[in-house]
Amino acid sequence: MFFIPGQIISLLSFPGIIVHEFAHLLFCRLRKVAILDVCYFRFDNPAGYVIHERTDNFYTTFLVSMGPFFVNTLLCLLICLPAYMPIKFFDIEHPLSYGLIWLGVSIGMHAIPSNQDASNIYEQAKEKVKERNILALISFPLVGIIYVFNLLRFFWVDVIYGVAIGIGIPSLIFG
Amino acid sequence: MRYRDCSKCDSSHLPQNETVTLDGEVYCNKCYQEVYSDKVLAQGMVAYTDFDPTVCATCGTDAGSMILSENFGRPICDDCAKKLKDKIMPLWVKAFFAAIIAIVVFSFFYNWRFYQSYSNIKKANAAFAKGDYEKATAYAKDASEEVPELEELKGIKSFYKGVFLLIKDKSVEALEELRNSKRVLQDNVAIDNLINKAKMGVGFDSKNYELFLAAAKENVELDTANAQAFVAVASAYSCIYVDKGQDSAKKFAYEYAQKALALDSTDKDIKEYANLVDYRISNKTIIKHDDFIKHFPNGWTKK
Repeated sequence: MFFIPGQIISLLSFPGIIVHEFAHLLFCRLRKVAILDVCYFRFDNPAGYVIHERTDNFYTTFLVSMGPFFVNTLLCLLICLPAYMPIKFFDIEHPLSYGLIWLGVSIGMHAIPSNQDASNIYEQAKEKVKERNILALISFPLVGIIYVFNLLRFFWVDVIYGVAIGIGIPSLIFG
Repeated sequence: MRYRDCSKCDSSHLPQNETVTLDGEVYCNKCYQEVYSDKVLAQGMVAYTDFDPTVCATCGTDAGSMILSENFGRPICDDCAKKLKDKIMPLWVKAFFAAIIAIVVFSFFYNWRFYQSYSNIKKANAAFAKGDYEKATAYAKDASEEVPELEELKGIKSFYKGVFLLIKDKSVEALEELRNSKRVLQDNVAIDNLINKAKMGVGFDSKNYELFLAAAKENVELDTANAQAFVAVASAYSCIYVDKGQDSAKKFAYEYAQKALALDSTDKDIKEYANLVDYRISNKTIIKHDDFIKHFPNGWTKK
């Protein structure tokens, strides 16, 4: 395990950051939440952001915050799928396939919401759980997992996730 | 800009965006904060700023009496609307996603042949396992044509075709295919065994019984516990005896047949071949195994 500065990781996996912010934006649009500002990529911390109006609708908050998990994960799988077979099964090396794997894994790496996203869910889940909202109940362990995951980024767990989705899942499907 | 009066205090002519609406009543910010905000939180009531439709909620530009367009319930002037639209979905982001979609769609089409080939390989293997060597050959051929750059697939196709031809008793063509397969797949005991069987067939068909014997002995060396390999040697020796009348060949024929039966006395094929060897030697006739079974379906007994 060796440490790579966050900015270099951002540069190497910039498609994932763009898709991550786009996913937030997409769910804002779908849930009719006003978008006030967007930055898809920059050399700073955070590397991207979406500023939207506050909503009291828990489902909206959940979807907007978890948007990257759904969109990035799905895109990672879709992008890696055409590249998987020639490389893994046929051992045929082609720049297009390796390019797709890089693109897919870099998108998959940024599937997990940020701690801020998790915090947004948590704040509203605390209230909703009093109404025995099932999604709110599920949100607590989910938020915990998100925090742990973001802590483990130092140990490349985000790359492991991207590889698990992009290569692991096709391996399970095709053997 | 529109103006409102506070329902509680004397404040009047307040800009609409500086008021709060609660239960249909309008209050100035001060009255709302001092009196109602805690009650609103405690009782779960809904208070909101009723945006002035003539003032841009983003830059604060007063459009006079003109009603502005809305951005999710917030009035927005044309300049801010355009800036926001350009910021939310700038051209480079559109180009980025268009490029991703184009690459993914292209890749699916470009690499589809690999998935087809994979599917055909699975079907070929399944057909081979079931003993349908003709279908296995056809699927393996398709798989190889879909990924022509992979020599291994050609080797697999040749292997399946070789087995199919061997079953059809076309030893010469089978030998060629199996040798092609070995060239690609290289060290493989199964292929060596089949090549020897093809050579045995070529030797028998061309009455070159020395070739038959040499190939049969090679199979024994590959697997000294294989009863079928021993009975094949016995079969070759029986042909040499009938062809050349060598007593040593007769002796070895019976010896190898006994060795085969010692290894496996229950296998139907082994017993049939041992019986065939005895028949050939006793009647000094070279007869194929299939013809022997047709003539003597219940086995031959020496009289």
